[in-house]
Amino acid sequence: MADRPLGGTTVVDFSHYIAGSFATMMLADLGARVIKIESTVHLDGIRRRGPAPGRDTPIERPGAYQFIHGKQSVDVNFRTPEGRAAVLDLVRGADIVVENFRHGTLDRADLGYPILAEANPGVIVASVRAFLLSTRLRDVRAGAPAVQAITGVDAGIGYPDGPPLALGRPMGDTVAGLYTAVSLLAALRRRSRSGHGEHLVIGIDQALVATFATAHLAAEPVARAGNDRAGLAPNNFYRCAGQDAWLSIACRSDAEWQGLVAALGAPAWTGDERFADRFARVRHRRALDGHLAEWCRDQDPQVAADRLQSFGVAAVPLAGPAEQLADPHLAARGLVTWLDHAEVGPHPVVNTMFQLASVRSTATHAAPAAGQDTAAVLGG
Amino acid sequence: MTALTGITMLEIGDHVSAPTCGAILADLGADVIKLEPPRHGDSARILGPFADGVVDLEHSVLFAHLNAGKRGVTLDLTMPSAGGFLRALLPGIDVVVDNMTHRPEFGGRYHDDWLRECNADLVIARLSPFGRRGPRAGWTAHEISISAASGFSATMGTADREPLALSDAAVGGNAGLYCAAAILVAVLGGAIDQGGESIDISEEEALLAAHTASDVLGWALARSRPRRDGSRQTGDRFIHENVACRDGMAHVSMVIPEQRRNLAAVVAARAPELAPRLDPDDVDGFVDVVREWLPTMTQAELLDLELEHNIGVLPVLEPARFHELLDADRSGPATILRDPLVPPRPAPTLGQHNAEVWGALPGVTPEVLIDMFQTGLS
Repeated sequence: MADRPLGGTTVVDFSHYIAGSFATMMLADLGARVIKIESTVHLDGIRRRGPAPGRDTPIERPGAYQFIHGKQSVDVNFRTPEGRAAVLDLVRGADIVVENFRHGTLDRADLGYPILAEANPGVIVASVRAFLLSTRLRDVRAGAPAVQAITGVDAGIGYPDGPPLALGRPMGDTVAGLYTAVSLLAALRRRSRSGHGEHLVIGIDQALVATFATAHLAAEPVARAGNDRAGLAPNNFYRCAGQDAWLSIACRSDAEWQGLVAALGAPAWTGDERFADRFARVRHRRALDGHLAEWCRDQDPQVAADRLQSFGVAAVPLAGPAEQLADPHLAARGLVTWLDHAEVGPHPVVNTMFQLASVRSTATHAAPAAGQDTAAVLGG
Repeated sequence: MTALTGITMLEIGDHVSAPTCGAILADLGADVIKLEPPRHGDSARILGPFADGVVDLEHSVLFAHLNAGKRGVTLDLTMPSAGGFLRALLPGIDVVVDNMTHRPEFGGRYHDDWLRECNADLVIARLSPFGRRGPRAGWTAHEISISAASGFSATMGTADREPLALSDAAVGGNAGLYCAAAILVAVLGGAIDQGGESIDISEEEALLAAHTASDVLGWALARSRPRRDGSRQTGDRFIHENVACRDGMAHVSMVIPEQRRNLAAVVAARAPELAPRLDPDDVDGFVDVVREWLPTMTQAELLDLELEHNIGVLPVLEPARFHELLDADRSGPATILRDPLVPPRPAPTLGQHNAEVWGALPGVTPEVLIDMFQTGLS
């Protein structure tokens, strides 16, 4: 099969910020030609610039280099008659249109789904909205962290003795983007059989409810449990030697527990009857935490993980981007592609990690400057 | 016409990741046969919440949510005799999704070459914590391990305490979603008629590529590290923060200048004494003033103000309180999302379709079915 299965597929991309852009980024990695519609009058917010250490001039938000890579950028204001005509022309030659404006924005520009479908009956249009489950909230302007807060995600995050915290990242956007990509791939398959396009609408609220389904299935209020999980003990992060160095250790089965006991050299406390079986360990998880915290205090997290893993124990250090970029496992599996950006120079982007044996889903070129492909795409 | 009508999938799936993938493909029209170990079945059967408070293998609401719309069979894949039944079943299968057979108890028996000998055109999708190749391929993991390795926990919790892990269902669900995308790519590329495809989904990579990729760019371009900021998310000139209000917490977004101006007007009208200190261009100082004002307001009052004035403040709600805001009729445009808020269709009981599926194979007489049951093979 073709190693870039979406080669020959054209996407007109009105996305701004993350939700839509993440979906079209994956399509670009699969070989689609993605034409990003932006206006230098009203720049995509993800291109907002901020200072960066070691650089003389401000750079765009890091997400811009990730989410816009592999796309073409066209400077066109679709709110003008000429701009609207140019966009409709692009849609006539497109397979997919993606937008994540507020409800009604494209309709007001006379570019709603009925108009696009009239121009191109085979076109698949995906609209991503903050709130799809509630008409009352439909017009609220909210970024993903706010949607996470009101849908109940934050209520489940925190320490047992504390208030709701936050995910600390806009997962609502990225999970909605992932659902959008899956929906678009399914729609392409349907179109290959029926010949018809369709309008897909994806809610960030809906994607979050699906992702945190357990909390929504429960009749009772959410309990903030820290890192406690049903049936697992230990299951926690333990502080190690080094700045903010942590090791996660988790055991479910007796075999894993026996491995942990052996890896620690069978200290006397492991023979305590409070840790004699799974049931007992779960009931006495705080006492278990105390012993493991003491053992971890002087350990290097990577060395300790290697040792515990050699005994079959799920021990994994807390990683951040610096550790991930240096990680031999992720390197061997092709996590990043290095691209050369006209302004910031060489930088990595994280590939779409679908890991098919005969399909590449890796980045090919760096994010365009706003409007850099206008002439090439629109002509003259 | 649904996308995957006519496609049959075998799900060797446990817990959340592979079953989520199977659920998505079932909802897209595939005929999904779910294979579980006999006696205890999928481990999600013992995870709560449980319907009507009945704690047994057939009342897990999570299991029902993830597995509705599938057919269910049992087979003990650790027994050598299982291989013959699988070999007979696979010619009728187009896609295999598997998150179990990498575990040591299966002895590496059901590798890609073995499956492909049974059916050369199979799309074989494997889900595992770190993928099936690479230096950490053999590592043991639970969900907290994936949360740690993917970088997700680097922003969860407070700086002075232990990091927090993402919920188990979210870790597995994300990998299942990623796997469904990869399978659709294979199907679109024509793999089912053209020699099949092998897919190697890593739960770590699925979380990293989907949700923490920007952190990698942030480090590479600006040497910025993710932080555990508790109830805050901060960036260049923006703040998202959960702040105490009169009867709970409220989420304050300081991103859109227009919302800051609107909020300043609302605060000034209700608390004139704070007005002189409200400078919408000084984001940090602005949040400090808002933090003083919010304890005078309830969540309901704040939601009304948001709906009327667009102030960038929303209540932090329990899921059940959020449900009160939802439309009664959510049968909007078709999506691929299972709505956990509607009662699920029935999921298969343990081994419900054994006679139907195994009995259809050549030579599997009622006597063979009884032997399978009595010996623990199914």
